[in-house]
Amino acid sequence: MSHIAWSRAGVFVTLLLLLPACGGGDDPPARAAQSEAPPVPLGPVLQDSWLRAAAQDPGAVEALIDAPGGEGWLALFHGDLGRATVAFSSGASQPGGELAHLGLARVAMARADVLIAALPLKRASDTELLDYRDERADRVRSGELTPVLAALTRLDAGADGAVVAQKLGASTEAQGPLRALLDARRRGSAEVPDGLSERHAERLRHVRALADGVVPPLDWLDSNPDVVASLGADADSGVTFEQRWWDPAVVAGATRAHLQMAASHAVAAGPAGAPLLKVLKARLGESVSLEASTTGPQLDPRLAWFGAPWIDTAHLLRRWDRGGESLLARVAAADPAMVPNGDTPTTTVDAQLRAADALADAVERTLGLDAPPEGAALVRDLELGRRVSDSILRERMMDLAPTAPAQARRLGERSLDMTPSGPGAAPDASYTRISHRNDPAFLVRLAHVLFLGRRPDMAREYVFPLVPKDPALAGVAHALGQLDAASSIGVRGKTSQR
Amino acid sequence: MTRPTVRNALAGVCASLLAVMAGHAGAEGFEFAEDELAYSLNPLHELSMAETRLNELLFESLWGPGYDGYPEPRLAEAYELSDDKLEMTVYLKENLRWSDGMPITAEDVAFSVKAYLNPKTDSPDRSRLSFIKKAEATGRNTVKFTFASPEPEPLEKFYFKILPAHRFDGPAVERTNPFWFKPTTSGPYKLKAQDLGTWSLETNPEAMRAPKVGSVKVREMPDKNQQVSSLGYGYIQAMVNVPSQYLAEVERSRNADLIPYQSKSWWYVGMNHANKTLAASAVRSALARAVDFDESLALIGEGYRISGPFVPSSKYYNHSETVKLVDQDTAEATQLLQQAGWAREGEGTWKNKAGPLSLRIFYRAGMGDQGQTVALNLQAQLRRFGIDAADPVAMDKAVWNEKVFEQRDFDLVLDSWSFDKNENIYDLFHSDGTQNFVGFSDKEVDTLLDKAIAETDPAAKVAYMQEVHRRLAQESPYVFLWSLRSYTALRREVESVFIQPFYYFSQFPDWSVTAAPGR
Repeated sequence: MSHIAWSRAGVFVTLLLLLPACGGGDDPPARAAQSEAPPVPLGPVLQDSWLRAAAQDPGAVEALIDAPGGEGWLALFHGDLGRATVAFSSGASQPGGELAHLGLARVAMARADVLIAALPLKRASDTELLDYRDERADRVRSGELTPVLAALTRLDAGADGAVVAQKLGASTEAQGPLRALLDARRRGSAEVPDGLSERHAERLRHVRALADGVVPPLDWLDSNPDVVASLGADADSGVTFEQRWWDPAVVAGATRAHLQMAASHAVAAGPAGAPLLKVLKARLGESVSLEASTTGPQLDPRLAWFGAPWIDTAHLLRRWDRGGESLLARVAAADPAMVPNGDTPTTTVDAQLRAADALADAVERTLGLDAPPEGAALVRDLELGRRVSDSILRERMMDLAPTAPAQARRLGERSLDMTPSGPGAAPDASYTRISHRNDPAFLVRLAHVLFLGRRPDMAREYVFPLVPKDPALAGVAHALGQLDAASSIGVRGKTSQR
Repeated sequence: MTRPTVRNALAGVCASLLAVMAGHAGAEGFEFAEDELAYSLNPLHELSMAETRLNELLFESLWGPGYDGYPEPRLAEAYELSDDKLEMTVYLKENLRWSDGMPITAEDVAFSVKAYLNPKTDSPDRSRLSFIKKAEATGRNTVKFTFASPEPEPLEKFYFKILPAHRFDGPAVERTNPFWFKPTTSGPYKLKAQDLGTWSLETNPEAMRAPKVGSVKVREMPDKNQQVSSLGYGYIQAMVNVPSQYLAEVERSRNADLIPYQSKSWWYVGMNHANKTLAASAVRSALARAVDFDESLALIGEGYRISGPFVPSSKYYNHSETVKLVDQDTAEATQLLQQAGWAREGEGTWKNKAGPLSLRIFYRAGMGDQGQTVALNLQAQLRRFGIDAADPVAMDKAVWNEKVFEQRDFDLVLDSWSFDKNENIYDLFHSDGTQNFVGFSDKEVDTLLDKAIAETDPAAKVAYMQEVHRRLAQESPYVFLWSLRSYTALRREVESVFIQPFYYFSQFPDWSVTAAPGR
């Protein structure tokens, strides 16, 4: 549908058409199950949210979408970052393209959000794989580079010098470029030694440039490993064995690149970019000079987050572990019944699942209280109530994950959109699972929960389809696959007909 | 396609009746639907996922999959592994009893191993236990296992079910042994009744893991529309497999939760290598190229085409450029058949000296509506290409076992395989495989599978298996079709739910059904 057609049809009709599966179901059982709970005092929780801003002033949302490149907001809403980039890039070069820059900043932040979720999973899975191989040294192959790659991985994961030195062991690569890289990193230097593979060296040079504030185009990253080391071969079958290694520093660098890209677009967005700059400054560090331009279109600052999986600035700061109070705590302060606790993780999960629909309904009612009819329709059609209850389930999921991953998984799966494809979604949405409810960072976090529950195979099911969207996830998918294979060593397993 | 809805599926009296029955079922126990009922309750002859699921409720193993992903002890209390990892002593829990009151002893464990491994039993799981060289009871509750080779981490291999020795005459257990419908169980439930289209279970008073739910009934419902309706009205509490076209309706209902049920499942068309025509690799390759399988897939929903015997996200899937999906290419298919000595005049049927190229198509009744749809489409496309494809025939499990697995009297079969996380394809494609019913034999594949099984380094195992994928894609023992994502649906009054991938009901004793309708 063209931009002109959208304008003609009106944004609400467009959004409604894009989300035919959303809104209240009309089946008898569905109606019977609607919560009849009285209104709850969620107003303060939602006060600063883009949800409330959109409900109160749907015309502002329409203006956002009618701005140059505005179709990017719908793509962004559906998590289709590729299509959003194309639309916003087109709009950014047009007169009045500041809001398209805001959109590009949001796309970059969404990409950074994925890697912020992925880096801990990468570190954990890489480390677990190393542990597996260390503990079974007599049963796994070792190559010339194995010790130094292990040392680099341990160093990135925060191991102390003694452990790193131990991992080096009898490495024959004492003078090689990876050893030089390790030594540089132990000194805190971003030096790129000579002799690294061309791909690895190029990526590290980009990472180093980032530290100097240079934001390179992000086409330098693909899914290929930084190092491929031989683990020998089987002469009979001709099969060769390799150790593939993705440098965690590159993933961290890619994260920073997205954040810096976001910052540059947020500056170009003018006053509308101010809320983004606040978060980016917190993430990148105060040393980075980030000042919004004072010229450009005005926008309700809450709408800077339109379509985001976080509801407001504080929610995002918490999500990125940069302060703030969790959404869970904020809802609990408003009405503890909405976020019930049980005596055990299992009873907590059951209680939270029971409360989820009531919470969604309460949010929907709260948002609609002082909204015009179009705003109330938007709240319903975009499933904004469910968006908040999903966020609560996901925060619970992350809280429980370290100690009760099986129960945490149940919460995550309840908040998972099982029907991601459909109008407005990316053509490959059914494969990637990305949708207006399933932001890719959530899918990565769910994978992390599954990893903690010792199901690397299931974790990989969520990460692997995302790799074409974000090549920086390739190393995570690889480590999960190796751990999955490790859990099958010597086990024949069971096979059944459907 | 018109999306079926609860409203148009059931109406008037029928809906009211179901609503009444819903309350009854919720108060009494747990009911769930299967596309096809489990055929045998004897774990030795467990072939289908429906049987695997039911047997999780009826039988215990020494160890089983735990919440935390580690093997958790079930009948076993403790174990000792010898220094050389070649022997293991397992101590059973005390005072365990079968549902008939007889004690569960080490003799039962030793017997079970012998029964699985006995060639006359013909268990599809025989190779799963091939790591055990010997099992002997050294005390009432003590079993000593001797392994074929060192087993440093053996617990996950002990997920097979233990059987009551006193119910059998010896370790050669035939499929016709009445145990299949009169089992003595060790699990949370025992069999209460078998009626037409249902198995009814009641609590096993001797159960080691006493369930919170008093009774379980599994009901055969080949019609998915009926399953969705029954779920909506609470007539059943679970629908094991929800096809993609019903997901939105179930998700919207607020009566049931959709839960991913990852079973590493994929569809295929198997080709009988004992058939002289299909023994030729060129003919098999031609068939794979004669059909537009994207068209077939589109008829049943969303899935992902595969080029080999793994789901796309599998660590073993070979994604290299040299292993590609086979797309329809009738020109190449024509060329391949011509090279194999077949000829076709105009729009007629392919023939050689022996006569026309005629093929029968069978599919398992358990594939339900989806199986029928794909089989009919396959027939139509083959006919368009000039192959005399007979009307597809649906077979229930008993006929399938006899005709396909035992007699090997088939040409093309449409079916799907499901795997636990180990993705064991050895038995499907190794020339010695217990489930290699197509008769595929390839030295290179045998060697690679042998090496993969013996390999102790995950990096190397992945490399071997990816090479197996490449070779199988080339040799086409099957036409590898697609993988569908699996979702299950559970009414919200079912609580404390945890679905193990593959082993669906493994943690069922902890589940509960609340009286309150929905959340």
